[in-house]
Amino acid sequence: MTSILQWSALIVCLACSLWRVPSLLKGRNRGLSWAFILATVSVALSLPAIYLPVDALLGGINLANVVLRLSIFGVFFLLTSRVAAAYHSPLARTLIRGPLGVAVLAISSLGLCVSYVLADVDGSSTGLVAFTNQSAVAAYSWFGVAYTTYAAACVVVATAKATLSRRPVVDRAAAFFLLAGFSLVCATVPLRIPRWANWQAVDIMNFTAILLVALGLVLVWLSFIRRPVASSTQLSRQE
Amino acid sequence: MTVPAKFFLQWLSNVAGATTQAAVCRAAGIKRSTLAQQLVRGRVSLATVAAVSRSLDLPVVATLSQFPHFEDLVSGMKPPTQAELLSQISDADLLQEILNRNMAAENLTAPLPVQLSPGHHKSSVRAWLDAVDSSDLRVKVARQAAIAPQNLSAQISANRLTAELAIASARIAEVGLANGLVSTGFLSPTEAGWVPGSRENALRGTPTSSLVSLASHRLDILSRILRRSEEDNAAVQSVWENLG
Repeated sequence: MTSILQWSALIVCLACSLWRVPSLLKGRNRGLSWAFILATVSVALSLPAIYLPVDALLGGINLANVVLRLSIFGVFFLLTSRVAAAYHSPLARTLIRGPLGVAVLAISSLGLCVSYVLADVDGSSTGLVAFTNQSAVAAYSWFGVAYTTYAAACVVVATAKATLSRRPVVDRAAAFFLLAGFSLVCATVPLRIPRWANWQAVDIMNFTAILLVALGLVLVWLSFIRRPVASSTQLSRQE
Repeated sequence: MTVPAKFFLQWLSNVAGATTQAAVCRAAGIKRSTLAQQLVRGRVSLATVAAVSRSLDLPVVATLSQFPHFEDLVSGMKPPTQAELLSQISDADLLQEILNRNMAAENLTAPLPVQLSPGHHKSSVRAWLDAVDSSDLRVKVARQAAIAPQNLSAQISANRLTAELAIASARIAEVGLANGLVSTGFLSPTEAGWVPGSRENALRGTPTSSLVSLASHRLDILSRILRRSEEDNAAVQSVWENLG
């Protein structure tokens, strides 16, 4: 179940990255294209079949996991700041791009790197599952969740408002899928607490969230492709 | 809004005799499958009744009053008031008349008569309700029809009003019962018993000051509608700009 989800998330992210190549070259919303490229990298690195050879290349000390975590941070920073701007939420945008958001991002990244150095993680292990008994590794994974949860929580309200607004159906559906995806990211937090830990559920929710967010953005792109062409048509429509 | 299929078939056999349903549909310009479906469900839409009635050259209002809930439609017909007539003139025609009069006053000539666009206009339902409203008409209509006020205003914003609500509004406002059906475009003015040319006469006979204040009220509403649609547009544009 999890591996099916993982592979489909990889295919979807790769397809979205390829779809966005023209926009990347034309310079239209480059951040979004980078977000998908980074998402593809992080999903790929969560698969043992890709993680193990890549980590071997990087010296077999699980440096690939740090790359994974940091690219996820990149995805969330790029994506949530754009979602906040798209749905007109200056507060969410400030919380993500403002001093507080940057501080949370910096502390999480720094904490991630420090706990990685402190941990003893010799020998490739996808998702560091072989080292979960170490407290440094536990701290490492909490730093990894801290920023993603923070950023996702920032845009939940904005996407919920857009879902309930009187926009066209496609836009509301897109906002709903984004909302569902970001809410799922936040919902994994309780399942990471040792007492209720359920790692399989966390994985399923994470990859479902990726699929939902990608679906939401695909809907936005479809509505963008079908947008009224000239400004003259828009004027006559308004009448 | 519908009439029971049983009554419809009874009426049809009275007025069309042995004509087949296929022929009736062809003459009325409605799909045979549409009518068949409505008959199966037991409810025939008023649009169907009106279309068949027109194709048989029968007066639509008289036809409707043979069905339950519409019995007093013919007896309740009244000529439209001045305000109702003006309400069925489009914003553009209203403004054109004001401009023409203004021009005529400057050039000391007779004003050019405005050629009124036929039938109901883009916000004819709202204009008609405003024209017949003495106090809280919308609230009373919603209460009497047992629908939520926001459902009523959604219909008005879309320039629609079910026949039932149009007739109920006219009843509460104590105007001709068929007049609301003109504003929704269900009936032509002539079918509702409006004298041809009465809109033109009402326009010519209204002092410029009243026309200007009516136009300013209409423009107020228009600006609100435009602002809303511009806001909606801007929201969609912003999504495209940031996520497209």
